[in-house]
Amino acid sequence: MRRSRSGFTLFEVALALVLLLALSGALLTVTWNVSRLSASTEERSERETAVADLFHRLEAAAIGAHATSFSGGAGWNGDEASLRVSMTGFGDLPRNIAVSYSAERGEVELKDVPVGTGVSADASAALRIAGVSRFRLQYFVGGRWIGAIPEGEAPAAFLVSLWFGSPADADGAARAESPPDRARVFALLGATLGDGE
Amino acid sequence: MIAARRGAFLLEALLALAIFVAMGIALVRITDRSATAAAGSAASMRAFDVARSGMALLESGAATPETLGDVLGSLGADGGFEVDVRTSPAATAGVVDVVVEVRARVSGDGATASRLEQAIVLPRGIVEAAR
Repeated sequence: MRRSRSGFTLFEVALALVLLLALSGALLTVTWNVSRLSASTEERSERETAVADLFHRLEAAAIGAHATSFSGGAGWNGDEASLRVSMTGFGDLPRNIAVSYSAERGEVELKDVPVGTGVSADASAALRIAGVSRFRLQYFVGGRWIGAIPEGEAPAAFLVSLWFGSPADADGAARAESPPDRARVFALLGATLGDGE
Repeated sequence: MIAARRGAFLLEALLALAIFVAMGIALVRITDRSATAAAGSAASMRAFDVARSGMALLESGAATPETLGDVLGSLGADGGFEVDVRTSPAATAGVVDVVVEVRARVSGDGATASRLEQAIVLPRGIVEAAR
């Protein structure tokens, strides 16, 4: 009798073990879910902020765009996956803005290279957006939307569309067929001012 | 005495369990709330994209106030939002006051998700239509 009171019974120890295991399992599940949700929220938030930054820079490029580049060519060059704009910002040095998309890396890259400062055109990217499964540029030229800027013409507007996800991922590939996650139209003020009353 | 000690042990264990469960629930709620806030912030950014795109389409002549919603939809740039446009002539000739309002289509509460008001120079045909 005295012996049985000095410790725990087998049933008590087994019950304690079961409870401990159940609680540990629940704790692990909660921690795993919370950390996964937290990581995905952080990643999404960083990507949304980077896209907002990209749109902000492109808006500035649309306002300060030149008809001709600093080397004498067209100020605008673009196709479905890349765009280069020669521009002068407000109080800034003349600069070339270049946006491109790498399907292999699932990454959009923006380079902002000041002209005449000795900075190489291969300067590191000013902005990188990872986790983009599809990227598309369209241009409004001559009353219709097309996939590349014809030589010698400037678009009245251009549309940037981004789909999030990994290109290699099946989910990312499926999402690339649905409407874009972010899209923005930019107007070139210089192209429309001449048409106003 | 031993029975009383055992009772106290059980109470302690239950209290520890309750604290543990409460902490778990609080953690999940905080994370869920921050995820909801992040989703709301992303929706606001999308609504602003739609409003800004609408203004750019009008400025460039790619859409008229009447066709703006359809053009945004056909370009896949409406983000699932409804767009409402109002125009009125500004004091300066050739300039039109444009208000673009963007509302969520799904929520049904009709709350404005984004609103832009801007005096812009519209292409000639649209200026005449706005008068």
